[in-house]
Amino acid sequence: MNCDRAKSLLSAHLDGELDAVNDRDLQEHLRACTACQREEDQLRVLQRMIRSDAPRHRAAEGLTARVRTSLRNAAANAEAPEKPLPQHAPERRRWLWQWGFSAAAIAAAVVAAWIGSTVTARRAAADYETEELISAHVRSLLADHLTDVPSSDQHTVKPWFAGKVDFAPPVRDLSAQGFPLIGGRLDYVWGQAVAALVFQRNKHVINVFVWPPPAGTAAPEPTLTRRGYNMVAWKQGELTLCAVSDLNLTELQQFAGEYRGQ
Amino acid sequence: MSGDERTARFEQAFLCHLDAAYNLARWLTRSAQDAEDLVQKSFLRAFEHYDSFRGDSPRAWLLAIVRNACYSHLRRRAPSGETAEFDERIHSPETSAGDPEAVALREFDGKRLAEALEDLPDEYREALVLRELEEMSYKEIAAVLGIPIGTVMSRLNRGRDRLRACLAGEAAKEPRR
Repeated sequence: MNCDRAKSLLSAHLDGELDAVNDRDLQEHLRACTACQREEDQLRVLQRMIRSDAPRHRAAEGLTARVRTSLRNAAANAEAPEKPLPQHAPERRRWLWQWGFSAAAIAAAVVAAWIGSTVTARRAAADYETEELISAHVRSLLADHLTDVPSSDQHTVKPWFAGKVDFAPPVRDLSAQGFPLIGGRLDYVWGQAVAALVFQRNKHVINVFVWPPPAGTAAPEPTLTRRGYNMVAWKQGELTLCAVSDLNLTELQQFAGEYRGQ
Repeated sequence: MSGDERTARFEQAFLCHLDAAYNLARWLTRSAQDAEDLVQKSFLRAFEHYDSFRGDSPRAWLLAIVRNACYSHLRRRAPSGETAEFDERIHSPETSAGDPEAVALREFDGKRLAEALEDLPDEYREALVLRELEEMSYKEIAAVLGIPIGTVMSRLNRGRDRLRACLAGEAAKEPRR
């Protein structure tokens, strides 16, 4: 093992995250190389310093209580429509009108609040998902990590996902339609593993994210444009697919149509 | 599962990670007030999406949401791309870390170390905070940052090199006490 290679592995060695084979080779190198030994010592000191001197910020006293309260409120709002409205049984007829009016007003207010909160919640959730998908797309371009399995052969890409995700993503060969397959990648969105299939249209990269939506989630917005990126989403069997690209929307929709087999 | 039960389960799984959430938000935003607001928002968001949580690390899942909220917040606040970029001229030492003159790490007090960490580019700072302060595994860090484990390794490597270089650079420039 040379020094460059050894240096690139030192951090993982220090963190106890290096595999056995590399770790053995590295230790062998360290025994022979004082420069790398010194490097290791410095990193060790640095690690101790960070742990002892950089503050792990602690939340202020009241934050837990505030979070709890807001969770309870959110839960109560979510349940509001299921709770029966207070039953009013006016004994005297002349009160009936008054009660009738106020009950109707309460009902209207509750329904309006409920619709408002679910619509906002859904929109917030959808926004969040959209942002995450765009981030994943951008990340794949920036981090120089477009594919884990670079291949234009669907029969190579599809089996690659076996054992990495617990579903089989549909992979299409659309090179005849002008959308050649570049490969596949395992990505993390919302902290969960999703399959990403990478296609190209001229100089534009198209990421197709595939995941099984959790039960009870709303269907994705069919098309969306955000920050210059276009997204086209659809359902295919049990899976949700979403194509993200800076390609123009018309061509991306054409791509999605071909992908679905229409 | 009733609503109360769902809330109770959620609280049990996630409230114990409130400090971790706050710590990450505080290091990313550099503001106690922003961190508190973002933690509160992130918990609500996690609660909304609780049904879709299937991973094995509630902490990693929550922190991924916190991180996303922090970056959205920072982007909104600095839309013109004025988030601090790493500037080699400012941050790099005049002497290399390998120079025998350069490194006397022990002479630094905690404040300067914290400042150096705060000055690191986001991608290195977040990886180091998760590793050193939250003591997370590479796998968990990979899940929070949405990057492969190999990238976690190289980010930590480079982050530590830069941190060390910053400190060593200061050592070379400033008189010893």
